[in-house]
Amino acid sequence: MTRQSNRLQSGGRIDRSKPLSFSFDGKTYQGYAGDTLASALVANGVRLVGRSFKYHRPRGILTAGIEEPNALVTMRGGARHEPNVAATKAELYDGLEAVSQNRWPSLKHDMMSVVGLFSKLFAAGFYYKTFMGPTRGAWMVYEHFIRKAAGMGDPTTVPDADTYEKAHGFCDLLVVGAGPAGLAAAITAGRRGLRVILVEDDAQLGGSLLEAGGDAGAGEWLQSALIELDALPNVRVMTRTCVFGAYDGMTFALIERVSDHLKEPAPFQPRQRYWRIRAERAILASGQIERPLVFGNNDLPGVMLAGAVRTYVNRHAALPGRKAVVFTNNDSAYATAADLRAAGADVSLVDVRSHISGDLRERMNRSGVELHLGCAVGRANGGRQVASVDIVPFDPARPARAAIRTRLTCDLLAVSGGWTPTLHLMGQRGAKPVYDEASAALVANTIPEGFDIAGGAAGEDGLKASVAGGVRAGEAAAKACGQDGQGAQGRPLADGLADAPEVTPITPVWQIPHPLNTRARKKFVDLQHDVGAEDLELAQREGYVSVEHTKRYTTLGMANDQGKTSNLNALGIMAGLRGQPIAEVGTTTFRPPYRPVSIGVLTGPETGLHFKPSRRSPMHDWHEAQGADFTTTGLWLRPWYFPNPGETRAEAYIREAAHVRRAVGMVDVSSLGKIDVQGPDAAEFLNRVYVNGFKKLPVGKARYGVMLRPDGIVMDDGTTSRISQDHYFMTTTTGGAGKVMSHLEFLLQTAWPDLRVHVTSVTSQWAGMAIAGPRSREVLEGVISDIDLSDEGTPFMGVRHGHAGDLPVRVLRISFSGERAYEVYTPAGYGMALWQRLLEQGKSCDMCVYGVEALGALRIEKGHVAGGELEGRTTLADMGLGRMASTKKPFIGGALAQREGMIDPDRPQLVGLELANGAGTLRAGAILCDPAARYTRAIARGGSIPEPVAPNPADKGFTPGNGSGHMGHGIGFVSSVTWSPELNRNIALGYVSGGMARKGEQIDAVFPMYDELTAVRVTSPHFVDPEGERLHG
Amino acid sequence: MADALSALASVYDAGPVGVTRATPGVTLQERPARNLVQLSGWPENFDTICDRIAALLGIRVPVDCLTVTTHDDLSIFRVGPMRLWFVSDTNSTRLSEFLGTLEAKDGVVTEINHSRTVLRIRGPEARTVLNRGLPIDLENGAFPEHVFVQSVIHHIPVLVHRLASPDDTVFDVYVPREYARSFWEWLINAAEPLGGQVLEVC
Repeated sequence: MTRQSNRLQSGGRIDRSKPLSFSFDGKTYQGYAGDTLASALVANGVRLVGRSFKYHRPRGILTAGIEEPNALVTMRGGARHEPNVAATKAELYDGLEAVSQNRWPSLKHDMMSVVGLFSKLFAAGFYYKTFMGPTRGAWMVYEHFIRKAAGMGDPTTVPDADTYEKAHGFCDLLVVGAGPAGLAAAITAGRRGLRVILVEDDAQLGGSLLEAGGDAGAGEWLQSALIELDALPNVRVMTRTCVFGAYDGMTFALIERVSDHLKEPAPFQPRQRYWRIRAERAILASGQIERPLVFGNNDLPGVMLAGAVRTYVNRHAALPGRKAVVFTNNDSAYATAADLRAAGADVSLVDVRSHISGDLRERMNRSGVELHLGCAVGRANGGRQVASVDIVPFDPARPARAAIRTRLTCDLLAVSGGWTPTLHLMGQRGAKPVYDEASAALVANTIPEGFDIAGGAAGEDGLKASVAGGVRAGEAAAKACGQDGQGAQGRPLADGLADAPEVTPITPVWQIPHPLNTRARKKFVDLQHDVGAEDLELAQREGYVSVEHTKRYTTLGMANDQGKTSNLNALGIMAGLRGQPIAEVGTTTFRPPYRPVSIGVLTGPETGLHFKPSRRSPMHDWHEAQGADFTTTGLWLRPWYFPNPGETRAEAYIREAAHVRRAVGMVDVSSLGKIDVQGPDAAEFLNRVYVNGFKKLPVGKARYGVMLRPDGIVMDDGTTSRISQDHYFMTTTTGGAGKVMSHLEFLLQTAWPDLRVHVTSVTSQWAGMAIAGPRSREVLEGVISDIDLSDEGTPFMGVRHGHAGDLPVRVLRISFSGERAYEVYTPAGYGMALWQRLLEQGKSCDMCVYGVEALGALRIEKGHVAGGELEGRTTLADMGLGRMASTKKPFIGGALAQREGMIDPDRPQLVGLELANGAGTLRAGAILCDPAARYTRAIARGGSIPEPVAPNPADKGFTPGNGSGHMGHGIGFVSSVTWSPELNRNIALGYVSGGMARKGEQIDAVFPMYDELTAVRVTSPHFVDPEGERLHG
Repeated sequence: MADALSALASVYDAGPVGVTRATPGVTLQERPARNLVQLSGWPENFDTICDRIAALLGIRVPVDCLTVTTHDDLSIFRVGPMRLWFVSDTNSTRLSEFLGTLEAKDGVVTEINHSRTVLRIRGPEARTVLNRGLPIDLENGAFPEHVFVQSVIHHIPVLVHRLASPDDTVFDVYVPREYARSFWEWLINAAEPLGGQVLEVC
């Protein structure tokens, strides 16, 4: 472990009683509680922390915030591995492990740094220009190597060990940022009784006050504000939380880093929490971000933003350098110079301005800071860290190359190019900032409804102005929320604060020319993506003039930092190149997220089986206990099949289906949609909804019905039973239940509000089970004693109510399998009891339990349509049910079902399909084609005219490979397939043009994904019991 | 009559969940099977029906949607403009008799007593745990006692009712039965960091 060589002996907001051990690139260091990883590295004298994205140049820490473009590290390991963490925002904890990125074999000796020697070659657009050919697919080869050479940290493929939460929050006022303005706004609004949420990205409240050092009154004001804030129960403070998105309806997205400051979360503690906050008003007190200055070698380790230097010195008691040069174009860096000097560093200050206020000059003289006014840093010098800077005379009005006036040795270069208000959240709402000449910054132009800004974000400099701005915004928010009167009294927040000192206006500088008689060095604008000033010039020369085009061509402003330190400098350089004012160059668009957000927190707890919720039948536990495999339909977990030991899915369902035809089987149909249709006009309503008539359906009878969409396409089918004169019980398909329910409600509320009908989903109310097979009645008769189940007592499509012992049951004699069958319903809470009674009785009747797969096999054998056939394109006539539509009444979809295209006799119609030669594979989704069209492709390619008779795929030597020889949409498709236990062969349902007129024809089934062509023969869709004798048997 | 089987029967375990606290942040409890009947009326006579309810059952029908009136064991939820839910823990003879007198011209009655699993959530963190998934402001001013909402938690449709309680925050959450296990798993997961206690069904 090394000594903290750059740790100051006193001061700072660190807890020296809590030393923390951490490692960087395998070397162990020590820091203190209150440090960030970056400040701890600074305290330990570590300069080199990463390699740049493209050129692998050595990089150090530039900032002290989320805008950091250089110091991105990989933290933790194993299942908690996380790349691209900004060291400046990573709070130090004992045992923290971090490694540098994008280097090999080591950070100090990175082989890929050779790329930097050819940096002129690797300019913007290099990859696009160089790796275009020779073939269209060549990029896919190059990409692998390019991505390995460039980039940041590697992701992990190990499942995340942590958990994440989601949460909703509500408030009258959301205050973003807890610096002096945010604190003043929150306290002011809190005093008026508003529900306030104050959000701060940092672990501590105070913002710029935390790094203010000995600024007059700052510490006392902060302490007093925190005490009052703590006493306001209606103000909720959220630290370690970042508002990363602003959306419609004053909805904000936040990420709360619940335990990122710990080695690992405590038991049951999430790592992060994703908040959605709905607010009446919002105040952005999000401060400002400092800009670097653009000059040669401005990316060397040891070049740091002046504000960040101040943070490390004053907040973390870490001295970034002992011999410092401060380079600025504005007043703020003078405080850095003074603080560095007070911390014991030798300091020189270079200012492009020739004149500064007497106050500033006096402070510098008093501090012993050497001043170089009217000068600039022409370039920095050094290898893996800055060692000296070359000072040139500089006239901002006429920037020109000049000879080096002097060289200053240094180990720290603190730079400040001015400050940009942080207005990203307003920008996300469409309020683009505009360039303000006076402050040389992008400032708010329009303020979206509901928003306000205060403090640095509003261009208010200094403690007093920021506090006053916060108070004003807080009062305005209170008024807007109806709290106009007096609330709790408190001291005037800005009282006693000193006025801001006299300010010498900033002189904007966008880049410093290279010194005369020196080699040009890279001048970086965007340090994260290695975009230099010359890249911007190149983009302009090549016609990428628009700011949006320049961004995409050079990648400026992309990646983790989203150009927080580079955007305005780039605009300034572009304006210079175009000879236009910055205001006319425009700005790029701000989009969420403001800071990187982990995918895990957006997912929250919705992982695995809880990616979506599951719906379970009342008998689910029994199915699970029996080892059923489940399939999902509309969120329902349905038993797919019940395998015996060692059985495959195919073996299980074939056994189950055969058993049903031979004896009897029971299947859980609780997932079917169930809707009570009630009221004096229920019959009329159903008559309008279904294509067939329901008015004359007697009480105690069920009827199969089909309903159409308004455009005439089949929506869903099912049976509807008449329970009483004014009460119908409708069933729908499992997947179609929600759609049908919405459809019915929509019609009742918009089309026919005059009908006295109510519909209620009773899917949850009823457990349902179907008993099918020759011995089904025998099973029921053993359980239900008060219903006459004879053909006379309960005929086909009969509906009866009775009891199975003490359990109430509703029995529908309907069949999906083609066998004698009954659907039995009981209230859901009794479902398991009824199921077990039927099982017990079934033992004496050789009854099996079957799943959805066998159910599908049985219905395909019978030719009943289901999901595969009701797929949103088919008409009633396509299904062979055209005659079912009533001609005596109108119904939904009836008119549009008569459109020309809907009654085209060439539309594909339902047919059965079998393998023509017993060979090949039937697949659902296969395209059906006319064999006579098989050689269309050859003709289209100008090939020789093929033989008029296509070869038989079953012929020896026929290769179904590349092709089938078919193109286009074919003449139909295969909708459902199964192995038929009854027929002992593969069968299918499908739609084919001409329908049953093609019965006996051989056609092609093409499955392009597997390059398959199979000969199939058209047959009747009713493979089993076409006369329906078994239904009544 | 057989006892109705809870949808949570196989997963319901009374006892602490998650972080240990001296006092649980939230208690979770399944409410036993209860009577739940829906009455849907017609515009021309719904007010008359409401008057009959008040006269016969001694309970005022809530005027505003999403509000509840309670008298003794019986609560009436106004779930729609002309739709009411009658909820009681025990069989109410007077309610049954009243509903039995209704004809289709008066309104239609739908039994939905097996359709919902009801969970009681109470304690200082009750709001917190619900707001892990419920996008509704549950603070006193926005969501007072005797109010309910129909919303979604974890993609599951729920009815959340805030009960009157002088010294506690109490919600009943009505979950469609087939979603109950999924919801319960979500709820336990959300309660663990807050320190939860699952109480015996009561």
